[in-house]
Amino acid sequence: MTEYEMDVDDIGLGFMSGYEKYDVEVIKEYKTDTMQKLYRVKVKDYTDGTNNI
Amino acid sequence: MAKRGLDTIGKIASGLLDLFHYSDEPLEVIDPSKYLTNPNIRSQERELSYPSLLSQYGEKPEVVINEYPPQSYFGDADYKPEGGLGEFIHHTQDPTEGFYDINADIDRFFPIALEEVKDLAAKYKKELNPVEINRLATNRAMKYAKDFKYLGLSNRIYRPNVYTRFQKVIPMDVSKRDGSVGDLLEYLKKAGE
Repeated sequence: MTEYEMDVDDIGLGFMSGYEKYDVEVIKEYKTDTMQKLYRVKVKDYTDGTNNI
Repeated sequence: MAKRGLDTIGKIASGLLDLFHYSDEPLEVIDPSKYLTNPNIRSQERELSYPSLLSQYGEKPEVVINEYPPQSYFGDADYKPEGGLGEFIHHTQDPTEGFYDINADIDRFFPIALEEVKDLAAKYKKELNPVEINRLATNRAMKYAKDFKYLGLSNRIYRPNVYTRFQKVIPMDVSKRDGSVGDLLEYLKKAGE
């Protein structure tokens, strides 16, 4: 399992959170200077086959 | 309230969604390819469409991956417009089932795209960080939704009242937010030319 943080928009978050090999936690929500909503997320990534959920 | 209930029943019965697109001026066609040319779109939004070089820097031929499908955005009847959206409202209707729900991802576009992106990176010996991998996989998953003839995307959990459209849309009618017709007559005249 690897763990990382990234910024993602709602579409990326929608796809990623629906994937059973990702455990996605939203840390915070914020808006860009053009008012687009983005999310800072922590991802536990189990795609390497270790410690499968 | 009762009318709202009847409206909802009507929507369910017809299977059609009322969708609304906002802009600063009346549009004859809502064109997804125009979205990222808008000067107000900067930073993170624009990054969605950035190409990624898969081949090594300086190597010929260059292999570039750029799969983000342009999309225009619509709110449904329950959408509360954010500040900064234009005052012209363009209305259209589409069947609910035409939109791909990315949260359910029933065709598993994202897992497939993710594996393919990783395979491509390995093929070209390109080290991509997780942010790039997930961005490219998301773009490819969106492209698959378009290739599979979905009208656009829905995001039931994180943006429940917003829908995207891959193709150009000719609005059924145009009005102003304050209810006046504004430049609608001029719009109709132009549309008829």
